[in-house]
Amino acid sequence: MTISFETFKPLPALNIQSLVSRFKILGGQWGDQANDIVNEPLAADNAAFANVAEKERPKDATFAKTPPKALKVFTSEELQTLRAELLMLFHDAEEYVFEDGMESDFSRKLLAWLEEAHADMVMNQIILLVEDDSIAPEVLAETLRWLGQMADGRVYAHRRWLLEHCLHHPSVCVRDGAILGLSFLEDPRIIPALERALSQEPLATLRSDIEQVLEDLREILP
Amino acid sequence: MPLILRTLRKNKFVHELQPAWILQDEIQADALKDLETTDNDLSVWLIEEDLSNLDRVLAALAANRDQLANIDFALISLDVITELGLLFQATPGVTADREVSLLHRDLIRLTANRLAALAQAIKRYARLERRSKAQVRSLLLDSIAAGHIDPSSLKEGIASKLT
Repeated sequence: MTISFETFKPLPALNIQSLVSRFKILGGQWGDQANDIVNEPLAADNAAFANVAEKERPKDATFAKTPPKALKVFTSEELQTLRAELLMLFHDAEEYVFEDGMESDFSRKLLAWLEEAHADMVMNQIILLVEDDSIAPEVLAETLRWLGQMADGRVYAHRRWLLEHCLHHPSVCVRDGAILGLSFLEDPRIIPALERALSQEPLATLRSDIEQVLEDLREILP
Repeated sequence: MPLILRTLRKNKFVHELQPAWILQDEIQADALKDLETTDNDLSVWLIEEDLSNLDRVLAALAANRDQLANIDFALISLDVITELGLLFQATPGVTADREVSLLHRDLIRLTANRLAALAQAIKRYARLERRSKAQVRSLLLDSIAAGHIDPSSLKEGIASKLT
């Protein structure tokens, strides 16, 4: 391939803050721990809602009862295999027709991956695939819905971070999926992230959708 | 004049959310995925003009699902459907609410052309709305309290999230 001045495109600017925050998520006591101190992007929001009743924070309660497990060190080959298998899952899903509230082979397989013992590594790979723009927008939007819909507290901090991050994704479809995924969390601590997204969202329809989620969340505040 | 309700993902039909190359009077092809036909029929629901049965229908449709989630839908006047020359057939639906099941209709003998015309009409004339997960929970609880829906008929993904 010949690169001329006409075809050369500089690499997109690296979002250092996003990378830094991602690595900090990995720094909990164990892989899937929601650690408010280490996970700085969420820490301020968490502190703002420190007085939210315990029953409104079921995901953290689940974390607290989760015993630490032995950390597995992935070899580079294992990581490459994991990435390739996830890529295949997302690629195959491009053929699906998704329907709100209905499971699909894709959602079942995705949730099965996230129920694995090393779900944190799976989430890290998903985050990297999102950063690489390797997931089709409609499939990513569906993924975000299910990351919000997951019933237990597994990899909650990772999921919440990715959902909040995708509120600013260039794809309209992905932003819609992020809004819905966050709404499924029903966690008042996401209010600041939604308010930031509301102030930056250029499309009236999505602003209206964000406002609805904010209204629902404010109703469950004590 | 009654209205027709079709569940779909509303943002596929909102013009400002479609790719920039879509012309004002056109609709993206992906929107047709949400109008999937079976034997050339499309499932819709009859809604009173005053919307008095809308919440009950939405609750019944939500009760049929695997998970408690938002429900997006289009409401379009029966006039528009008639003007498009689309044919109706009353066929019993399958919901947890027997009365709602009677409101099921099929738009029948659809061709690709008619389906595209319907999609355009939805984009142009329909009210596109969303009920959030929290709102759907309220609708379901109301229908259960009114005795319209038997809670034991709900799937685990919904029943476990109602409280």
